[in-house]
Amino acid sequence: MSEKERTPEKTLTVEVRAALLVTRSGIKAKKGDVITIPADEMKQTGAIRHTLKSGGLKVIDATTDLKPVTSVPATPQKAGEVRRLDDDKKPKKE
Amino acid sequence: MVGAAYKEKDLSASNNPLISPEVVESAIKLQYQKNFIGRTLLGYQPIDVSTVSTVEESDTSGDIDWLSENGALPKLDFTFLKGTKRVRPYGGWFEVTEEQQEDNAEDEIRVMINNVAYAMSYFEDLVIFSDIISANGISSIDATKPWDVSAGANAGDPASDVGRAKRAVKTATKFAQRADTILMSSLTIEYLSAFDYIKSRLYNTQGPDGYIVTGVVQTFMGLIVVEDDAIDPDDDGRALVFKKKDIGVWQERYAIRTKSIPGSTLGKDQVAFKYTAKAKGEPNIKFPKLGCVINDLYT
Repeated sequence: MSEKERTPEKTLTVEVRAALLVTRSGIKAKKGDVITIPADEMKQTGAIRHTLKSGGLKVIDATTDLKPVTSVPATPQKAGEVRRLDDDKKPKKE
Repeated sequence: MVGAAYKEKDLSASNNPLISPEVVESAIKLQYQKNFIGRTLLGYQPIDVSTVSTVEESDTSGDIDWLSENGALPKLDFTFLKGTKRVRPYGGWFEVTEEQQEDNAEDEIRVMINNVAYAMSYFEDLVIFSDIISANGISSIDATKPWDVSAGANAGDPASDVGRAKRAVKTATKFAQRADTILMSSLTIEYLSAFDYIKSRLYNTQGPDGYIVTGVVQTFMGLIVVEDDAIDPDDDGRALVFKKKDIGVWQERYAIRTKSIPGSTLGKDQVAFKYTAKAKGEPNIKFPKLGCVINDLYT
């Protein structure tokens, strides 16, 4: 198997807002359905391109793992300083 | 006649009444109205302000049902999104030179009149069809295969594709409303006309509806065929099946207005008149569910 074949095709998860969407690639969806479409515009059919453009498909944002962010209690010496918990902030060497 | 009753200018060809400003202005309006396509497919709503509140249809709810003797009538309604719609002016102008006026160049002036009149109505068609196609919620399908007879056995099936689009409109409206019009570009009609079953129907239809007489397909799958390149200006391979009049309205603040301005007042010595034409109106597509776009007709 070549390297190219092993690479998974990038897709988008979308919610159908058009009344009906039927594509040549076999998708048949109605309003409210959540479907997966190719992310590559060249691999999208005309109906997908059209509905994406007209707002008939709403891309659902993929959840990403964000690092937790919190604040460090402000002291009179460090007023307003905010940093990530995992920041490797070491005191500068004199 | 002797004396100062007539001046040289009064006797020149520029006095031809057919190129007088009043007649040119009227001719613009006359030509403009001859070219309406998109506007005749929409409803009409005159408005007296430039921004109006509007609704856009969402889901239809409720059904007709048997009534019990003491029961209530079921409610039929649709949910809608409320918004505002702005109506903008559009227009253009051309100039007639003094030489054209002096040379009595009726034909040249007529071409300019036609240009501005056609351009105005084509602009409206582009706006109308673009608004319908990009309306939020309109159904969209791909043609099963391209409508290309040169592909032989792999050629598409226009009747089936149009049938699916008709069904999409019916399904979206709970089988209550039916599409009655199909809008195609001249290139799509050319593709469609290449199919044998269309060809034989066209050539065998006699009388005033015959293809040989009119050069256009009158109806297809029970839909009125309207040809307008504004539906697919970039030849993407797209057609629109919809219910005319009900899908939306043409909101008009004011109809076409023309003006003739003497060149001398513009500081242009060689210009006899500048003619302007403008109107203010925009389509408002309130019920996109009544339409279905067929994509990928060529590829």
